[in-house]
Amino acid sequence: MIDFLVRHRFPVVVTTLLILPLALMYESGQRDSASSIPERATMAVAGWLQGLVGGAVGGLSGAASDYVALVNLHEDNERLRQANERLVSEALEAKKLAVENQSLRRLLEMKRARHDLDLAPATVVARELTPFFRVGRISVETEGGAPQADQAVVTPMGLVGRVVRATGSTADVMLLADTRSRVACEVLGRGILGLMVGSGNPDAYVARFQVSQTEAPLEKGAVIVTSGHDRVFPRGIEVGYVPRPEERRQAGPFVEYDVMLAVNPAALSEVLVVRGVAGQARPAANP
Amino acid sequence: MRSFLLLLVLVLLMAVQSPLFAVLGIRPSLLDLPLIATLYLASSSRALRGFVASVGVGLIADAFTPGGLLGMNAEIHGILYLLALGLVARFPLSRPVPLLLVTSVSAVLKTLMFYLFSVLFDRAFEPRAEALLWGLPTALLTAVLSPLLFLPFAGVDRLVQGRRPTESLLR
Repeated sequence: MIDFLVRHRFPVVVTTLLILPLALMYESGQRDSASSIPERATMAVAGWLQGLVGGAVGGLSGAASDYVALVNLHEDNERLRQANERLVSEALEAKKLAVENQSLRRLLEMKRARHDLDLAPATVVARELTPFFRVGRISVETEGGAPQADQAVVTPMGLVGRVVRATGSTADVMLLADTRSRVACEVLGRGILGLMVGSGNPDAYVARFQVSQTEAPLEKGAVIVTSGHDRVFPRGIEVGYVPRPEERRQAGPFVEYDVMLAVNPAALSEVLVVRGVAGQARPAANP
Repeated sequence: MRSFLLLLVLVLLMAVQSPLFAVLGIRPSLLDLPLIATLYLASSSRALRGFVASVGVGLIADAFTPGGLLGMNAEIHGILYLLALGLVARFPLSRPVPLLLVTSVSAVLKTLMFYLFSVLFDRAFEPRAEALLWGLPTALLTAVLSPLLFLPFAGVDRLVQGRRPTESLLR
């Protein structure tokens, strides 16, 4: 037996290593949101590393931009170099702080405005590395409960997506544009219910809003918000708007509108994870 | 040891890829580093070791790909390694043009396999033909940059064994 395995080790190893990932894939595909031990382990290591490297790259980028600014000043005016160095450096720092402050203030305002939501701030540590999925990775900074699957992720501008996998303080967030994303929504002020389906388009951050054929046509600029009916996303969070209602089309039993999403994830660095909604029990992870 | 170092370099490159591209304003998914690592292994390793390392490359890609199914990249890279191994005899990957061609073909095959496995194993996946086109920019950019992307891996070989499998690349 051992002789056979040694003699045929190449086909044996190849067959084993091709069957094993198939089994992993099958097992992983059967779970809707709960993560297996191998998934949690790989995600924890990769997430930690991405967070670490992300911080280092951010720091280096800041230092590099400061350096470029200083070199230019030196070339422009040698006599005023010292003074300019200080002023530009302070201005850059102040601008950076102002942007950061504005972003944090918006998060804080949202936390105050939506006191029905238990919100935890999180930092985006990685973006999608495959052209097929629109899934980002975040790191939740606060203590008092790690992120869990099926928690909503929001910003003051609107809905970002939902946690699909979580381990420790790291979570993978499926963005609204992912083809697998589904969100129960309604048209603000009109109560028309529908389903927001991700378009998957990597070049434009858009989704499709599907409503019943019996509903009246939507007007240009109609704002779409979460309806809360899926018990994953809290009600009343802005999702996007309909830019061109005349381009609606038939999709099976529904009428479909293109929706420009409220949040562009490419520009995101901080988000809020909805850990709970007042008066609403958390749904089971696999509805 | 060599395979471990190659995988370590890949891990570091992939960890840097997302934040660095974000700073530069480029979509991180435009570059397929695991594919390059697999082709490098096919062009420079013994068959069995290279295959095992390629499956490792796939697992690393799985870990760094939020939202995918664990094992999908491992399977794809294992298969791609075997295909590349067959192509290496005809197309020496130490030359830029064959490398470009093999990278393009491999990237397209990877897209097709990704689609197929997603249809078979991912219950939430919505099969849409246009999804196949999303992989094209990645395939093109990765192919064009493949001679350059080979260099970090060739550097490991130079460091560990004094081998220079890709020294003709930029001539």
